[in-house]
Amino acid sequence: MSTNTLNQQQLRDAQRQALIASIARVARRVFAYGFMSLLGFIFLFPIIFMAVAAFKPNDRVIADLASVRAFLPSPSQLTMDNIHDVFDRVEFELLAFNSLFITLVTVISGLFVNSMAAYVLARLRWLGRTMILGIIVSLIIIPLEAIAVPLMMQVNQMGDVLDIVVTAVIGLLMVLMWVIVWSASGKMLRETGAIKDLPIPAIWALQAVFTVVITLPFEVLFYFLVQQTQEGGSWLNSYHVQILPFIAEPFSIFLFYQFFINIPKDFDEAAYVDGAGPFRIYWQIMVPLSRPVFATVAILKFLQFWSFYLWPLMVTRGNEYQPLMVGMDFFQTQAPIKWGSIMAYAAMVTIPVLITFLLFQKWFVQSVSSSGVKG
Amino acid sequence: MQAVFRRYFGGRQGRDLFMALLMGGPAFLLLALFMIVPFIRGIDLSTTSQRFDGAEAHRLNPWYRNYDQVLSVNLIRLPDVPDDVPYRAPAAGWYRATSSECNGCEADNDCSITDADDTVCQQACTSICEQGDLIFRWRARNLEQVGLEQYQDYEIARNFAVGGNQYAIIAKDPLFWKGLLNNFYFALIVVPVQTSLALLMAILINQKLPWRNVFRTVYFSPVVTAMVIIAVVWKFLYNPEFGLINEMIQFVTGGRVEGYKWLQSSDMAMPAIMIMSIWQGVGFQMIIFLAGLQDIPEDLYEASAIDGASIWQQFRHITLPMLRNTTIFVVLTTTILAFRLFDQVNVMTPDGGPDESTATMVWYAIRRGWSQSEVGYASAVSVVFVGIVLIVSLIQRTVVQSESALD
Repeated sequence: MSTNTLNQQQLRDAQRQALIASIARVARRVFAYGFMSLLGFIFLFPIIFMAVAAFKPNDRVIADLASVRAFLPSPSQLTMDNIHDVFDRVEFELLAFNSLFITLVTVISGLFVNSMAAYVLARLRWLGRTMILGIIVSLIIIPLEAIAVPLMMQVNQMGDVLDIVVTAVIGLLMVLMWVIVWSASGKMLRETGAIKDLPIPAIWALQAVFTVVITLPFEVLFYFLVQQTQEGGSWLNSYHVQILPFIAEPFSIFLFYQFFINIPKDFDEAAYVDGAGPFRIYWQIMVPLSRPVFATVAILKFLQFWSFYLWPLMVTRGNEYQPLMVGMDFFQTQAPIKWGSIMAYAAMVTIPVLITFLLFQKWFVQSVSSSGVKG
Repeated sequence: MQAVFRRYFGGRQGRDLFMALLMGGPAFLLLALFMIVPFIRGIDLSTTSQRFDGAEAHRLNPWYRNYDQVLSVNLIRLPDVPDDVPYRAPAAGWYRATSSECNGCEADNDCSITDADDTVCQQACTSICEQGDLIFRWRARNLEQVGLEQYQDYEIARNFAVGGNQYAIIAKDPLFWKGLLNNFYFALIVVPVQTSLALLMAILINQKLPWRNVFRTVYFSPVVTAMVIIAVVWKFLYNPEFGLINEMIQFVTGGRVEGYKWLQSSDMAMPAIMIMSIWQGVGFQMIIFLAGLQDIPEDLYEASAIDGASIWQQFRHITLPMLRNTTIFVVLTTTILAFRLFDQVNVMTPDGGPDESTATMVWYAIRRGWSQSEVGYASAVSVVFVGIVLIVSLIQRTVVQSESALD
């Protein structure tokens, strides 16, 4: 009898504990959802406000601010006036075309150029590979902001594309010569008995002397070509000044490189035995295997260049070649200031990208995750 | 020699070299042309008086004159100033004005007078305060006037009182130093806040709750908005008279807090930009943390739960150590981004904000190099900027490495 009551007592205790636990779990969930919703509101309210204000009469935008109506469209007052106003006052379609054109050309050509460079760095064995890889990795730290002013000076001076190409080719040859002479003289010095035991910095110094002396003709030629290039016309106010400098990017090369070195080598060895050259291996084996990293780079670069502001601001005058961001900067201060129209402009730029994001959300999230580090 | 030649240029190595130049050539060429060359030219230009408007330029003598102008900074104690000299340091948060109408009054940076004797006095103070260039000249002259002739090229960047004495940070180019300090201020607040908020959000999302992907989408959506566009929207939200943010603050506090002047006050302009930047960027870091969290094996939590570990202990002893690399990555990249701050500053406060309270190094370099055409000087600022970014990231890396050595 007594044991029986004890069991019932224990049972009741256990039930009560289970009840408390489940209440605690529900409470935790309610709290978590509440907190997450609050955060969600904070992250969404400017976007909702912008989208709603875009379709409101201009005077209601400010009048509605004091109440919850700021976030609610009123069907009776729905208007396209703001959007018409934007099209009347700026060449929005031209700005949109410029933005889209510049972004797409930069991103797509960047995918090819950077992935090919990463492929030859990751897969081929050639003289100077480690050196160029080192240079590219160290370039990642140099922010665009730091070179913007001299770059502006440079693109203003170099007009004749041919000049530039020639100069660049000569420059590349010069660097190549440096690499070759540096490596060859290093090998020579290390094999020469007397010098073998010198400290490494001394060998480096000797290598540097060799390199500079032997490649002197290239340096002189390069110097004159640079002088000549500086006399050409200006690149300012054009599409190519907003595209060419940003096609090759060290960080993209690095992302591709990291992905490529993790693909098993057996694939391309097999193809090599079958007689495929490097380009065929790249095109038919590496590219199909690397879709995720292509998506990553494409999305990250798209976000970066779609919202690119500093450089276009510096190198464009007038609407002709301006992207949407610079247009917005001028539109927000252009009299008469109508906040309804400004919100309409903002909504027209933001909402298409938001919709794209919602459609390809998985890819966006995956590309951001893989821009980080593993482990 | 022949062996060397054959080794590098013969057979498969030689063909690989050829293909490497062919396929990698475009990228290497473009990088050389548009990153390495401008970087080196920037160093070269920084020793000249180059201008963008085509004016005559020459090599400076001594070559480091731009750097001297940018970097000269000193901390001095200001001597007591005679009462009849209006005395004002622009970023100090106060100034003391004396005029024939009154004995003295104090005002803050917005020229709102705090303790004027009467209306006449207040008007006199306000007019002195608002005549910016007059005060500018006073300020420039003051250092000489008070017996500090050796600092005649300097201006007061910031002054403060310690134990009844006035001290001042003086610099030849006070605006650069303000920009530098603002960058550090921004980084010191934004990096920890944004990193911990991102971690918190990632942990919330990582719970196996229904609808979590909806929240992930919501938190991430600011990242896909363009900074310039959303900065203009926030500029409207921050409006002191009818901005939504002030309305919401009034609503939440039941009207006890009136709201702030945000972008129009020197105290709140930078915090306003910080809040907006965190709002826009935190979703990105959240996703990176989320990827890190999902790499942590579930058994660790299960095993520790059996041992009776609390949620906090699990966080402290499992989550944080396992996220170490991710956290380091997030902190390093956010710091660099903080120093590159430009877009939102230039859109929301094109003139650098009240009392240049939102000026940053990049903003200043662009202003000098682009708006004012002083390419040579701006190049020097840019070189110093790269130097500071390098030093900061080197320090961070050293700290990280010495910590790993302790483990």
